[in-house]
Amino acid sequence: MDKVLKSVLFFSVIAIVAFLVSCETEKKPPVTTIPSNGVVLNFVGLINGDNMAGNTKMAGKFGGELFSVTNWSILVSHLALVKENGDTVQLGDGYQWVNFTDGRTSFQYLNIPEGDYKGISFMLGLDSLINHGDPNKWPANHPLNAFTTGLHWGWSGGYIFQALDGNYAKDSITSSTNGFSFHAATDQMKTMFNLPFNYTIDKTVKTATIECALEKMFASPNPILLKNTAVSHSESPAEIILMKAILENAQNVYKIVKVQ
Amino acid sequence: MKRVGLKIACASLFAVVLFFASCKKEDENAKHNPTSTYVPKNIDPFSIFPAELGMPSLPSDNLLTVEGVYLGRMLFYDPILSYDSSISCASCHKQEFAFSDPVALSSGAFGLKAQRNTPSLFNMAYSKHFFWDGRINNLRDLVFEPIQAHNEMAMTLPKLEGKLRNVTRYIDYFNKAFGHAPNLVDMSKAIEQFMLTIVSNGSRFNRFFPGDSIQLFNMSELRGAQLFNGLVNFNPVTKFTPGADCFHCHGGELVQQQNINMGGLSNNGLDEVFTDLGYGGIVNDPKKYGIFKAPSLLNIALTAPYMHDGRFKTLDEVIEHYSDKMKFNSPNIHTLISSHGGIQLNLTAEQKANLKAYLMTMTDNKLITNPAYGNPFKK
Repeated sequence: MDKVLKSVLFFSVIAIVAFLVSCETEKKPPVTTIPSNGVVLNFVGLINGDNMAGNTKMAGKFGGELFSVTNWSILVSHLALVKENGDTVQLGDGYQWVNFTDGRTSFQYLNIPEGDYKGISFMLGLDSLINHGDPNKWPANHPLNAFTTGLHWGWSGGYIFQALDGNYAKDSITSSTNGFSFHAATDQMKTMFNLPFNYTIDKTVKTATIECALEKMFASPNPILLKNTAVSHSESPAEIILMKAILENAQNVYKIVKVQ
Repeated sequence: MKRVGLKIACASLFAVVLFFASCKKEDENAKHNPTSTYVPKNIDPFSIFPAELGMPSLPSDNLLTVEGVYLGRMLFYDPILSYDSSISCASCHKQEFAFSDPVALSSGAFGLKAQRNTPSLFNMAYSKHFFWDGRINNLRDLVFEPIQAHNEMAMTLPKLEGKLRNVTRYIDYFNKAFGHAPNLVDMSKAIEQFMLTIVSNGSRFNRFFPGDSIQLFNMSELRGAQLFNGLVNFNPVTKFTPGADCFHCHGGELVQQQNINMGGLSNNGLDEVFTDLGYGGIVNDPKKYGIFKAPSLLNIALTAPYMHDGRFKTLDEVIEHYSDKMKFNSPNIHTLISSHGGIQLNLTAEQKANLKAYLMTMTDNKLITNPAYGNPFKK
């Protein structure tokens, strides 16, 4: 009987321990992995210094013209951090869709090599083979999925690299407006951007704040008045000249202001 | 000592029973009746969604199954979803009209009229905004709106659940598809599954796209394609434009812009004063009054009448609007229209005919005859 009792006791204790352990497992908080060696790119859309976030401030002024923005979206490739020695560290697969209008402006990348860096670079637009490839081959939420971004001609023209649409006041007396629409597309509109800033990637996640001042798109070195030129879809010779001027101005739009 | 030992042993045995009982409880919660051991058959999404359209982003918590899709199809065609069992989803979304209704405003329960024109239903797996005002962003939530609308199905949800629980085929199919007795959440997931599977890409346009199979089109259709996909570019003297710029809002293989800021939701210059606020009424923003979802133009020849209120009876009237009757003073008119500088397109009669010919290539006969989308109760 003693042996039986001992056996019952032994297995019972094991069962109790198992029970307690099973309960304990449920109570444990979820294990969280602390990311390290990372960077968050935070594109901050601005109009005349005001943040566009939340769609609350979408109007501005340049050259005496009042304008409002209904759509500002860019498609970039070769997105990379630039090391001190000039080498680049590609972020993800290098593609990103920044949608200032809808607030798709913040992107996190992990496992970045530690070290000193001197900037961030990207190309507005896509390499030719990708630009004219099948836009439906990309996964549903990929920046190059045409249905997701809407940034595709749906025809042989390829992708739209930058879509900037809005309205401007016809005159200062009435409230009536005209629309403007600047869509950068076709291979010749690919534009490289190199944004200088010295920073160090260590075992933390750094946030790089990139200010994007929209009104500078119309400013220097090619001042653009919307009442004179409100449309370019990068098609006709005049539209191509206008779009190239806008993209030259765009070099002054993007600026890293802090990495911390 | 033996007594103490016995007490400990009894207490321990009780703990053991408690342990197994606690494990058992979870299993029983998952089962509502014995048939829940049935394993539904998964559907390979690649068998539904064609490579030409790519793989959409599908809900990860509602995988397509044979039983789920069939249950959704039954529910779609069953008037049990309406208060007086007189109206089904299919009463207004008729397969032969690309799941639209050939009247301006459909009739709902008790003879009441719907608020807006019945939209067509296909390729919804690729969409993120539903209804004319874009107020819903997933199919599961969409399901409950017409069911509860007083002028559509006029149903209350508790009553609906009770009705479903009393129908043998639903008890059987809810268990097969979801392992539960009929309930509203699984009902919406089943209808979501069915709607996700409705795909349209069998038109001549789809075979022509992206424009490299010109032998499929006659000259009028090709010229219509050029006009549709060409930009507005007025000759300074004659004001003639070789392009009508339809594609910005109705572009790509879906013939529909999905990005709401790129024309997916837009005011297309119908009215200077709004009687229907559209998307602006949903987001309570006067700057968005009069904005509606740009529908896909696939199967457009089947889905008359047109616009959110069904005001245009024919495609000719639609083309007439965009060519000659655009209301440029409409508040919040889309920038791609207002950037025309207030000049009507003034398409020629030949251009209009070509445009219509191109639109007529977008009819997908497979969609309207596919038995997989048809009424499962029809013998």
